[in-house]
Amino acid sequence: MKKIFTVFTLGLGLLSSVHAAEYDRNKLTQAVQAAIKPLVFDTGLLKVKTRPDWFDGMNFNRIVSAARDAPLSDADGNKMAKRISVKNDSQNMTLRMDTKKGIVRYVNRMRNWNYETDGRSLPVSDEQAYVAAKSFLSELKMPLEEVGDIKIVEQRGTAGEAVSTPGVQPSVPVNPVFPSIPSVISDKPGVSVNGNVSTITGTSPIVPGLLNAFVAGNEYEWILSKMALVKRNIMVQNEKTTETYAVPVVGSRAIIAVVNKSESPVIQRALVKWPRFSMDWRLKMLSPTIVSTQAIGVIMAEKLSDADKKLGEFSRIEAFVAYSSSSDVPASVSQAINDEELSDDVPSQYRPVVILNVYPPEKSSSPPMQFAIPMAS
Amino acid sequence: MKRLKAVKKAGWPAILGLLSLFGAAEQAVAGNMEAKVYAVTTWNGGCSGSTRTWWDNMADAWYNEITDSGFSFLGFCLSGHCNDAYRKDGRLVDGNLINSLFADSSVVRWGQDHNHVDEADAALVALHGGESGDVYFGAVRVNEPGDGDCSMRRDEMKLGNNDLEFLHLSSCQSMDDNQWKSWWQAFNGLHQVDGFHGLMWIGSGLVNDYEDFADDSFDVSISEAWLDNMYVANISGNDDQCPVAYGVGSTTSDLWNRIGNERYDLIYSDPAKIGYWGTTYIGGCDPAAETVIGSDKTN
Repeated sequence: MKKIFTVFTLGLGLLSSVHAAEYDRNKLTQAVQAAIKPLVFDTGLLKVKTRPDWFDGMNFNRIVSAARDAPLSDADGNKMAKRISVKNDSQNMTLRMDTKKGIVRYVNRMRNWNYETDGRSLPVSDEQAYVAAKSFLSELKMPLEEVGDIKIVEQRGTAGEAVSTPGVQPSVPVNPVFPSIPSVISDKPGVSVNGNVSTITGTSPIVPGLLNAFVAGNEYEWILSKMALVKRNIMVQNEKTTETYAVPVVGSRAIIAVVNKSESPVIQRALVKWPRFSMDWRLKMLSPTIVSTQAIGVIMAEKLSDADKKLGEFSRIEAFVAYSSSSDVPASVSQAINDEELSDDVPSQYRPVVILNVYPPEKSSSPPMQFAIPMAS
Repeated sequence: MKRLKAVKKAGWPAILGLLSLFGAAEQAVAGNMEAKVYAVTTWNGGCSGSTRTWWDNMADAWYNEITDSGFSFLGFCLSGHCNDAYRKDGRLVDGNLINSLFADSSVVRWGQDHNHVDEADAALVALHGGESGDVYFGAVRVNEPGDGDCSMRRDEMKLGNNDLEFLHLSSCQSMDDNQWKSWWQAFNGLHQVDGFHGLMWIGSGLVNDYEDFADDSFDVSISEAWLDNMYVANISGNDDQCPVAYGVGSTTSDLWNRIGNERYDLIYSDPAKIGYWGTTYIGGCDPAAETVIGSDKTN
């Protein structure tokens, strides 16, 4: 059902005469207002205090310690550089930290999944991956009160033989090697799904020569790591009801890959994008009407192909409240709402925004759009 | 006091700028590798497509980062990628963006990729995308006179025989799971293609992800950088953005060695033979316009 884009879609677009059409302003206005109407324009969104700088005192040794890796020499651990690579007999890692962008990157390549030596899956349970990720975040001294949902997923690998299939013949041969296909003795693995977390079960190595791969048809699958996906929230107290609620911070997240390369699960790599949270104290809430007007203006600036016009302009528009970096706000909107220059006393500036998702019409080839429209200026 | 504050605000570039007056700082020299970027925002050159004004910002973010040589001082790379940075080899945004730039003359006689996308070492292409059967295609801007038309297609490509190692497709359905079994046919020396299963997203808040991907690909494998920076869970409602990294190898061991290790600053020799293709992706990823990744490879 979700497969709504077909050759028909782009074909229709390509055959159409080329004119830039505009959105029907009335139809768009109704849809935008309907999406924004349920949102709460709570002045409590502006009361969140600037957070302590969790990067304070950050150095490379703090990162490797959080990842349970061998400590660096003092010279490396305290080096004043954006990134360092450390390579010796026991380590092959790269570390990066970007204070301004709140980025921490860690990778130890000795912990990479290795086709030659590792099994079809590294035996890390979801619970172990969760615990390892949470411990990493904690020891990195990240503000744990901002850590939202942690979802455990798998990084997977799939491989297949490069064999031309009928109807998909290559125009020019590329001299592929066609290795002999070992006979497959398969006890196909089962897949159990629990919410968004999939766990492959099954025990037998399957294909000689294709180390410990699961077989699905003529393709082979492996689990390369368990990955913890960490969302960021800021807790806000509603100024009228005093109830506390979580507001997501878009563009800010952590992703941590966990493998079993030693006696206990360890971090193979981690990417943290978590700038210090701060807001300009001078911000004032805008009215829903102003936000709607700006949202409509931003969307109207995107001209429609004739095909999309005929297909209905858009299929749906969704909105939710979030915090977004001020730099993510379209310049045209900043100018329209007479945004003053924000304070640069701290490196990152957030503000409450309405995130507007605009889906193209069904059967369109156009990608969906996402805009951050300020709720305050 | 004011001067000190100015230096503090400007940070390392200012300090290095001052030092350079005394010849102490060195401007890092870009390496021998070349990057190109192609993007369309406005389809008004004879081909049809809805405007996406933020697409070139996303593409430029990648281009500017991969080519950022930054500063080094006394052998320490303090910003940018110093000697590892790629050289700016061409930016085509809107303009005469046509089909033949991506087609190989051994497949279609009018192909000109050897002078364009296959002339770079790394390229990013940002276009409306779709698929016909199991073949990806992207909407170019100008309807080319002659045999080329408004869509560049995977089955017109034969990449890497001139130069290209890494191709990144900021384009919907550029790496749908039903295409995996045939994408290898576009490889002819090419090492990796990175794209999306289902719809990818355009927006002001996604620009940084492209910059971060380029930056990251000097630290971790390109495939890991693509997944870690482009995967967005629940980007809207129940839909995820689902990146896929795709490579080839003569054997499965060669395949995984390449996918797992190649970086912008660690490039293996061209694959001698194509025995296997392989992908890496986030299991369970569920984008708009497609089924859960890997769950149905028939369409």
